[in-house]
Amino acid sequence: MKKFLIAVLLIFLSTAEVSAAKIDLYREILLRNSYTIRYENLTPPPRVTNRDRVELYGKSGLASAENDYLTYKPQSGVVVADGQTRYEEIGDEDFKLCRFSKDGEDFVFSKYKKKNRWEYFGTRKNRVAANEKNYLAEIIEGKSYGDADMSRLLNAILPNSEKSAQSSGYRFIAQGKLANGLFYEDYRSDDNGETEVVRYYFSGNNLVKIAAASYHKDSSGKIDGRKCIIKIQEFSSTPDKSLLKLPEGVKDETKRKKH
Amino acid sequence: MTAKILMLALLFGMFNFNVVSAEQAAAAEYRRIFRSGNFYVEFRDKWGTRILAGKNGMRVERMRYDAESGSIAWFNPLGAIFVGEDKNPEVLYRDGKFYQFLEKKKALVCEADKINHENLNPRDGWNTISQRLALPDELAVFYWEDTFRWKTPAIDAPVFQESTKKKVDGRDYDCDRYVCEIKNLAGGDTASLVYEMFYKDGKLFRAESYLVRGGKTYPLNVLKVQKIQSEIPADTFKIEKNTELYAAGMGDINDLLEIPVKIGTMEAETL
Repeated sequence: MKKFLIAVLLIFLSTAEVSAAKIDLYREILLRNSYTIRYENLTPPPRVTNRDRVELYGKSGLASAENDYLTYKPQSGVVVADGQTRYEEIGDEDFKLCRFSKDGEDFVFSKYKKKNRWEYFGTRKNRVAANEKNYLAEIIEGKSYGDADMSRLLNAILPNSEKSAQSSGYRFIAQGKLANGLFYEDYRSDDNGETEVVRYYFSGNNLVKIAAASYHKDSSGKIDGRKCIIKIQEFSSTPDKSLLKLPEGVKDETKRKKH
Repeated sequence: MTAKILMLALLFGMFNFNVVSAEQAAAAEYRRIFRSGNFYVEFRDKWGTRILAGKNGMRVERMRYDAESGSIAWFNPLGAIFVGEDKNPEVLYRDGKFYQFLEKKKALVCEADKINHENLNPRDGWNTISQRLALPDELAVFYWEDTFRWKTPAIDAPVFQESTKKKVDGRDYDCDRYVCEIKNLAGGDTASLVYEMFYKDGKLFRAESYLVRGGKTYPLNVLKVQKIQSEIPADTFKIEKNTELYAAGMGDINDLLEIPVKIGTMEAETL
């Protein structure tokens, strides 16, 4: 009898990844390639430099907080997909990096506010040129959903058959209801030398927040980790078609080979 | 009698089929050259001509930029004038250290076991330095185990599939096809990575790669191969006289002040 119970438990655990859960709906939406996602990453990734490894003591520090570039700021992201046509943007209220993908081509450009209006810059002001889409990277790394955190945390909910063999697998751990009325589902991964636990928060059936904590050992054996909190503003299965074209006033100057 | 003729015809047919579907003879030679560790290859990609060479455990990358990719040459101070003989390479590996030649007569140095260290400046690109010295995937079909290559459990080693005739610019060429399966986390195959090697007069002159997924084909890369040989031209590994060496910044006070630490000078050497 005990063995039987263990077996039943094991079967339950092994199928937990695909058991009916609130996240299933969002997995389905992603797999159908038709969605609009708007979010705010409250904990953007560390800046791309190693200068903050320096430890300075005392009060006379550097005025890094006055330097926009060096300041950690929440970033907002938008991801829209309608089949293979996709649009992604990530940035703060004044500056955004954008990528528009259509017919195997990627247009990468930035947009920034000038006199309260958006200006675009690709190859030059208001001009963009396409690059060939990197299909191999997409298969190996998974689809991109704005910034690296959101990309990882949304790829985490996809079934293993949709992820490459080098990606991390996440398994269901627990679910429940919090005192503030929100529901949660927890997932965990221990692959590639990194442990990460992710909690998806739901208000009713709506995904409203994702929080994750991860750690790994650095090259000196010390534990290094980070946390990540993403507020979901919209996650719907209706693509915002107004974003699935190049912005008005932006001209495509791609030199295409004639077939 | 008829049966005998039929048998012979069948045998001949099979024999012919085998000849057609066998790998080009040069493939074995390329394998031998790459595995020996002493090789010299020249190929064109969309930026210009790239030179890769290996010798006694060393590796070097040189680049000859095209006039048309002017912006790239502009970014790289050495780019536009890189054809001269006594100019420094782009990247060098030697005695367990990687060297990046960033400015004229100036190189950054990082030990091989530290290239993935978290304290390195991510903008210096040390984590991809090894890949720059690796054979491009299209040529790595002959040397998949190249230790400089980036490896992933997601892509299986290439398997020879068939040899056929295929057209390039209206002409028929011998074409060997190799296939790598791309694995998903559930253990199945997601897509195939296909390499097609085109031979002219028994020599590889073009390699194409593409991805096949769900019956659709997505082109990835075309490599125009100019040379694959075991003879290494003089000066391939040559370093310019008095090239100053600086240690790769490890996130210490020198990085903060942007004053790299000089660790020595390279004498003019023909390695």
